[in-house]
Amino acid sequence: MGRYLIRRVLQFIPVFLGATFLIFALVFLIPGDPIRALSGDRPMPASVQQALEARYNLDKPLWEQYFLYVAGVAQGDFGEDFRGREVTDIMAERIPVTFKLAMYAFAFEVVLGIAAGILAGLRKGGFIDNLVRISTLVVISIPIFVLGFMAQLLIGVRWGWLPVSGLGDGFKSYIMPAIVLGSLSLAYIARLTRTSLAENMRADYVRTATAKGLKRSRVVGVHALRNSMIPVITFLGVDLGGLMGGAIITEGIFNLPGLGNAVFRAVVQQEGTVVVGIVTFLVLIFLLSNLLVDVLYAVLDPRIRYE
Amino acid sequence: MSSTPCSTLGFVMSDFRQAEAVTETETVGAPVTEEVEEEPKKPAEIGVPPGATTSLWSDAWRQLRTSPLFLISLGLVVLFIVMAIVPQLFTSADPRACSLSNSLERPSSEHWFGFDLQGCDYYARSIYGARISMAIGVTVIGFAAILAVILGSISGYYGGWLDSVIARLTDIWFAIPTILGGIVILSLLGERGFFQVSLVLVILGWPTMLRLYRASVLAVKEMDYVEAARALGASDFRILFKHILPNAITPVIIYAAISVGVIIAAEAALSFLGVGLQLPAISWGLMISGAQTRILQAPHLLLFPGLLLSLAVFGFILMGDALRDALDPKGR
Amino acid sequence: MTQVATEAKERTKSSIEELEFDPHAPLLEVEDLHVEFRTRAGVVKANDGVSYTLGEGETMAIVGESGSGKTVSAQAVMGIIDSPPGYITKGAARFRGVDLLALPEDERRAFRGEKMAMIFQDALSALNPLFRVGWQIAEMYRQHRGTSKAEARKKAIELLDRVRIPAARDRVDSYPHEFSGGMRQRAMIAMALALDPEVLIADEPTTALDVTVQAQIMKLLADLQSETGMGMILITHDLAVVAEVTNRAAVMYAGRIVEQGTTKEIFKTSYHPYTLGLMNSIATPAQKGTKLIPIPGSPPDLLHLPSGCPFHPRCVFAQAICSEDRPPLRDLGNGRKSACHFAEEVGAGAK
Repeated sequence: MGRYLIRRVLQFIPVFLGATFLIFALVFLIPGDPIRALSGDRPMPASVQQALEARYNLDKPLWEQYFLYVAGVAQGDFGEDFRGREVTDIMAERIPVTFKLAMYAFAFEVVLGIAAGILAGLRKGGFIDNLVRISTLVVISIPIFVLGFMAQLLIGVRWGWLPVSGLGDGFKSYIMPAIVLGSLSLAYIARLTRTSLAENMRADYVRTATAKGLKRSRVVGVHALRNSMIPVITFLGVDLGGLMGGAIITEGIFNLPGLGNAVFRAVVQQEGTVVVGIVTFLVLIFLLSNLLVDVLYAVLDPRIRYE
Repeated sequence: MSSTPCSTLGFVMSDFRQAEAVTETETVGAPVTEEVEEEPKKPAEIGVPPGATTSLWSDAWRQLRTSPLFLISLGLVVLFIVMAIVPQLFTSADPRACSLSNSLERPSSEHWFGFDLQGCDYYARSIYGARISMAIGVTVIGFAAILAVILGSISGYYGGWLDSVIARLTDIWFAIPTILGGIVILSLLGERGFFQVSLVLVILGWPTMLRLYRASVLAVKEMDYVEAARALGASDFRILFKHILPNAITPVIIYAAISVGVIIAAEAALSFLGVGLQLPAISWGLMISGAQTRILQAPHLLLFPGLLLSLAVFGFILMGDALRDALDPKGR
Repeated sequence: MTQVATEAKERTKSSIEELEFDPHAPLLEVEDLHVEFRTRAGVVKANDGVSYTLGEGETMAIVGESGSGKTVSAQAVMGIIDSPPGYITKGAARFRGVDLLALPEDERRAFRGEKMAMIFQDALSALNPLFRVGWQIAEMYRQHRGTSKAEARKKAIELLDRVRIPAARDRVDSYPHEFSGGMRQRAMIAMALALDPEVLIADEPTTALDVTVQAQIMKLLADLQSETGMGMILITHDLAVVAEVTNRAAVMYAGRIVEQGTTKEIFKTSYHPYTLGLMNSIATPAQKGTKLIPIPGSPPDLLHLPSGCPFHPRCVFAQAICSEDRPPLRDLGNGRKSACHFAEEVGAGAK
């Protein structure tokens, strides 16, 4: 187990470096003046231009630029936006919002998704099963922004149950966005749980457990469920990436001042540094969560520990 | 036990893998072209008199023909393909003939979807929107599939250092979630048309397909019929394309069907965010983006493209689902 | 174990005790069992009127090819048939006179593990890969008897010892995939024997093992049986194993029993062409230099059984009547039964 962990951590480092290099290179290798690329169409005073050039070490070879950037990141320096604000300040301000949103969405999708999946998986072919199948497909098909607007219109405006915008109402402000954000993942989790459980119920070890005279609740709840959760856990690691993408849209629609919104605005305002900085941070989080999932996976499944 | 565990070579996956979760397929390796003589292990598997030729595909087709879900999805897919190729069948109006005097008119019996801010016939625009969505969906998946098959074949079949390199590269790719990567790249490109958006989506999407096909190849290459072919002296190329491909391609086909839907949604999302297609392109995502500010006054601006978009995505994903059910040898 | 749970266990146990067992009835009696599977392609009669009896201390073999229905009959007795698509449409399975198939599920469950246990062919997939072997064995004690974790673990170690797993104390915390095939099978046997069941059903316990390991496992089973006096049903397609270990045998074909008798007798004289064919197809050193004689044709499709006797298309002795009338399983005296119109002739012309 220890060796497995070390291997995973060691694999993590080159991937992180590779990914950040990729982002970095994309920004700076795109033909044309990189400063222009970063600043978009805005006109720039010469002093700013020079400062930027110095800042980005554009006179140095690319790989050196990259290492300087990473060194900066390692020290918590993600650069500045064009008004001179530290990207890290922007992030610090907004991380709590996105974090809360993501956590609520996560809790919502995991609890409901697994529950629905179990109900459907146990009665494969039954009414609940088909209901879950179709409804999850429908949810997956409706793009998150359409869902978000519809929710706003109906629940927020028409029926007035929940706030539609901003953080004004504390926890209540998060409810609708969290549900909208989590809905897509909920659908995937429900399907995955359903399929996984249905398959495991046909497995030999379930037959053995039944033959042992164990109560059905135990056969399903202890034996089958644990095996079924493995692919779900795997998925949850990936899910975070989806949540990030979704957060960008959701925060935009519901006007929550989180990281996603910051990226959204930065894109619109063509603030390249901010975009790159936040994306790098998000990638780091994503990689870490995958590492965590791998560890969890090994904890759950003893066969993996010896790879 | 079904699982799509992290491969031993890499542990990071992109959110594209979400679609893969939907695939969850274990159809790999089931012989496509072999004669199946029935020596049933479980009585429930019997369905064919002994000696008759069956194959996974003909069995699947038999099942699909009568499956209502598949037929519905097929209907939707065909509908949208036709809509994309000959929009004139659905509307005689010109989506670009806009007159401000009609701005924001509600739906009526002559103009089913009303008008948008510019005064363009919304119904016409919605219909024409199918064109670019389908085009991007099919193009991206087509290219991604070809790339995935070629590289996946080499990677899976020969293994070795090339495989490791490719695996590492795809790991890096996977570390960047699709929408994020799309935003970064597209926001830095000057011009964003069909070509750029498609290219970016291919770049972001092919690693998943590669992974899938490679895993498939790895499983199939151990099968006895491959070894038999090798023993008979078949060339690697022949083995890869005549023996391995037809059997390993099944999960990719299912994933491709689902992915067309996912790509359509992705393009819409990117266009909605403003980093995808730009005006004057007619895209559902753009239309919805434009609808944002006027939602309260003119909800129809959101509803109709949203509806069509959802239906298109639904059609493809449902088809992938139905295909997967039909092609799953364990369910027979 | 909470108060409520312990009481629940007491209740179930005593509900078995409340059942009226018949001291004169055989240990296990299966009577006219009919099991069908409803599939997309049609209804398959996996068991079409299967009857047999098992006495205490007896080992009975159920022999047949894949698809003959041998496993299904055992699963029906244990009550572990997947339903859907499987359904028991008729018949009784009496444990000391009490018909298990007529009991409500809760009471039937009380028999599993306690009175009857089953071991399966592939121990790797039959054991839960995520839990330690000792834990899975101890589960029997913890769940059925309310034993404490520590005590149950001790018993698990004892059991592992009993099935001759070396260094049981060290291995009790291993996972199934860390065992070799033979040891896994022993662990599964240990798990089955935990509560001293009176009937053990072994479904092809050695098919997946190497020949040398096979012999060890069969010896283990035989020894355990003579220690405990339990009845054992051995499901197999391996005639060599049948000859060595069993007292009685029933041969199944296409969901029916076609021949029954003591093992010795069946090997000496077969009264059914199928059994004869099986015996003849065993390669022996005496046959060196001659051709092997397989049974011609292939097993029937249970969805489209031949008319009359299901074996007739492959039968050397077949006559007109065989394709018209299905022969019942009839008594030939001396406990011998055969489902063949020409059983006596077959017996007379045997090797």
